[in-house]
Amino acid sequence: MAKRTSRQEYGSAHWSAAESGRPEAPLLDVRDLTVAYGADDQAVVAVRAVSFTLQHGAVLGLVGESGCGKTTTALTLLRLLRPPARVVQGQIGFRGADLLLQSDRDMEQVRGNRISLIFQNPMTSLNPTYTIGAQIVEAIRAHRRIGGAEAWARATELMTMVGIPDGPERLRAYPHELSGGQRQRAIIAMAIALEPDLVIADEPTTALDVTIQAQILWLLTDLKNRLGMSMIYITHDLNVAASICDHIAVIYAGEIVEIAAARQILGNPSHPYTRGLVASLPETSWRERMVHPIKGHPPIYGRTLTHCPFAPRCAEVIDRCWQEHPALLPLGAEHAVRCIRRGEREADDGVH
Amino acid sequence: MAFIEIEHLVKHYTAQRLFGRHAPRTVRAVDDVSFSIDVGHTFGLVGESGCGKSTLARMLVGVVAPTRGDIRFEGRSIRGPRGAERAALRRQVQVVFQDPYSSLNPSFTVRTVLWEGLRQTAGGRHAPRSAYLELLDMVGLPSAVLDRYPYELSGGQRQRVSIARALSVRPRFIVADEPVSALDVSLQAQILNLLIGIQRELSLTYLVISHDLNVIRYICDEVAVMYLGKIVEQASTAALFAAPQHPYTQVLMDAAPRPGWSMAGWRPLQGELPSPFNPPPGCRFNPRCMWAQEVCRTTEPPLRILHPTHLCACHRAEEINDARVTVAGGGTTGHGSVKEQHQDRKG
Amino acid sequence: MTLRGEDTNGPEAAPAMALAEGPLFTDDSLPIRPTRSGLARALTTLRRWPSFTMGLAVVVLIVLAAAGAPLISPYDPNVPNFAQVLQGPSWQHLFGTDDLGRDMLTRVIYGARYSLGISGTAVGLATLIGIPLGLFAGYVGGVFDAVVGRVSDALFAFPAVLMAIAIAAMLGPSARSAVIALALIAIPEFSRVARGAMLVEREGTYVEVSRTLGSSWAFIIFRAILPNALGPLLVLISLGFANIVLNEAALTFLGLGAQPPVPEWGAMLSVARRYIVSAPYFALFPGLAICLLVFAFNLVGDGVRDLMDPRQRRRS
Repeated sequence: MAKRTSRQEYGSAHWSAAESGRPEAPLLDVRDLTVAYGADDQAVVAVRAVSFTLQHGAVLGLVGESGCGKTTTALTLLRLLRPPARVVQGQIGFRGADLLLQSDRDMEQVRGNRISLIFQNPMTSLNPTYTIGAQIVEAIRAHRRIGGAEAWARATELMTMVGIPDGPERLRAYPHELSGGQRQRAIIAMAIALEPDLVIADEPTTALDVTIQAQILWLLTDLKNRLGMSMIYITHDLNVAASICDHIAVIYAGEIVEIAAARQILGNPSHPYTRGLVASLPETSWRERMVHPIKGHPPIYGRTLTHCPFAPRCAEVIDRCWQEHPALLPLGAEHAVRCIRRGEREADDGVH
Repeated sequence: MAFIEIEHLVKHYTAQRLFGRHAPRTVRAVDDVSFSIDVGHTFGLVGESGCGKSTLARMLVGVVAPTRGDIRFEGRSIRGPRGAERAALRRQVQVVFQDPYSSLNPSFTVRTVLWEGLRQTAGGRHAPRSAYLELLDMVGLPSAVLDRYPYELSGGQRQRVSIARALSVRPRFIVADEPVSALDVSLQAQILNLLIGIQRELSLTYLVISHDLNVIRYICDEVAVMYLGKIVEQASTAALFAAPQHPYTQVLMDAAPRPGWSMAGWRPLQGELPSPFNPPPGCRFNPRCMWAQEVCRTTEPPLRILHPTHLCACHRAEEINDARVTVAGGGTTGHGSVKEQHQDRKG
Repeated sequence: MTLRGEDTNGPEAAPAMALAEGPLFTDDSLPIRPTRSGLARALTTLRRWPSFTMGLAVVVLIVLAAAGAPLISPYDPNVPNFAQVLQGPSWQHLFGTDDLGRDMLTRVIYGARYSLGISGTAVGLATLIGIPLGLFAGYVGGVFDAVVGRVSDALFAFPAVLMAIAIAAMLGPSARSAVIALALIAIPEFSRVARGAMLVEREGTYVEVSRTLGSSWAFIIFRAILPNALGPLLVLISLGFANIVLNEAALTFLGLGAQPPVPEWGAMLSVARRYIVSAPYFALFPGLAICLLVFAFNLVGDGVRDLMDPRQRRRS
């Protein structure tokens, strides 16, 4: 793919589902998105040349350690970043327009209406001094000119849709009167109230018990199917991502290092970092009493990166890894990896 | 006589009502729990929030006083002794908590943290440096941490400091309440390995509490599953994971996403944990249980012996598990739901 | 990612690691300690909070002035000079003279001794009695806490002046009775704040841990919890000092504290009242001195509060 000449050092890569044979125009087309903090010379790059596409009705997972840039990417999609963070380059193609070029007023039309966001902590996402009903109604009336009674009726309908029993009574409840699972459902109700095209969920189940998490995952999948939404699901838990996502993008130090169908990521991971993540899953390694730690800490890089971001921690590193910055290149159908050694492993294995 | 015996332990919390003529409401956090742990064993308690496992841990450690029931260490009850003898008995049980940050005093250096325990034992107020180094060595920390404050350490390091602190009074029994839940997955196994190593070296007995089945499976010899203050199933780890008998245990094992797990044709457990002020009559799980029948709604099932060393509190345990075996076609392999869609990992 | 000397075919193929080899820990590095000395960092902190630094400087100056009063004062504070009564500020008498011809600058400087001394003693008593009392009450709760609370409430209900009058009536007006009155007023406030700080910290997990280790209540309250509750307490002491200085001046103004001819600021103001029209500068300088000291303590207190703010804390 052609590199942007004005910011060559950030690199560029583009992996698109369109290249793997799907003809229709994607809902979301992100290209070379780069977000940095700070002034140019000491800039710290949080998201580096991230590119991906998302089809209608598909679910993409963003998986990585804390601080790897996945949340920043999500916030950038909705233009919710604040200085000192700034978008250095890139395009966010959504329904034919570049979101990065929209005015603030136009973005307000998008947020909550076409793209909505679900945050991690249900406790702090809701305003404790207003009832659930008031907050859902507020979300609805921000974008639709309908009367209070009609909005309330719609809110009741939403409560049923997300599985909160006794809708009308629960609407009058305050957040502290609901359990964690119910709060998260209420937030999901607000997120889908206007039937957005895309829902971004940032670790929505991290704070919940496993049976409640299962309910929420099932609910999100059910709603996605019924309403025809697309989803971007952000998590550090590969298992959760694999259960709900069609494709998974593994993010390391702000870059996508591997992107493939969920089953491929778990069953046939190529990038050493991905393989490390898969190997450290309890189901994979603990049963045999093995420990496969990935030594070291996630790094933060600046403007210029001339080597592979994972080189300091990679057990399969060679000299060439330190000399060039690998591009994200296809490996097979719907599978791309950012590693100069990606061909070798498959040749050795001969299994897959 | 087992090393630790817990007998009919009960903890009720009563919420006073400021105004109003209603009777005060009671939460039965732990409602008649009994089990025993042998020396050198690791016993696991698994359950979700609100099941009472943390309250039980705090009673064992002496931070919370039981409402009723008894706890015995090598036959000696904790309710009898007073003063110095009671303090000595208490010191035999130490705890490692979940949050590695809040369980360390932010104003203490690591040295002070360890000193607090060391000064209680034979070393006296001026424990030799070797005592500190020995503790650090046991948890794999370098001596340079002695002058550090908790905020300078990573989560895994803090948890190791907590373990060293627990060891500083030479306990014989350690209660680990979610010891690795706040850590990255790759760190979890390392800490668990550490705990296993220490157990072997010092002949310790453990009670490990976790909501994470992987942790329980990795480190425990025997497991009890708790729901709303009661034990619903108890068995050796191998037996529990091979063939869980209680519907709640089955649901718990089924709900966690894992490689090969798919949501196609699957439905999660419905409903939420009932209010602890007002547990449902009969079996506490009955409102959410797919096998519930009339008897489940009226009579509380006792924790009874299904096979030797496999206990289960369910009226219909035998029927349910026969039915599952039939549907799955032969022996149950691992944890599956009634609709078995167990895909091969290399799928 | 592979274990020592293992093949690279993937996790399934690697053999199990023997536990006897010991666990490897991947998070062993420690953060680098700041390289600048404590003094250098303290100076940087001072530079970042100019108001705090100013307040602290003023307080220190006044304390030094009070301590070295005999050295820096141009005249004797008690010797009258009837030839130069009620003079305005001049080169010989920078602050003018009072109604008995005594140099005001000297008397104001000596007055610092009394203000700081009396207030300081009261603050000291409040700190040494009120804070441990509040900490203990907050920790044990129950009947003790309730009793202390109600007694505090009763003392709170007394206006400072009334308390001082009552004590002056019992013991005779003097510096000592002023100290007692001021301390009695301050102790309930100090104990209440300390109790509040204790209630916050008491719930911390590290407190439970200390209990399981078998530490005594004294250790837990004073060694384990107190360092963490220091923030609000330091603010309390600084601002409390400001308040007490003000109260002390008021008491002496009313004649309930140190008696003349002591060069105490409040007393000077009391005398100056009569001359407010004819010689306004007489009241000016003691008044300014009081304002300055109180203001300085307020700045220090505010600065301490900002410094203790947890958001600012771990910046080093």
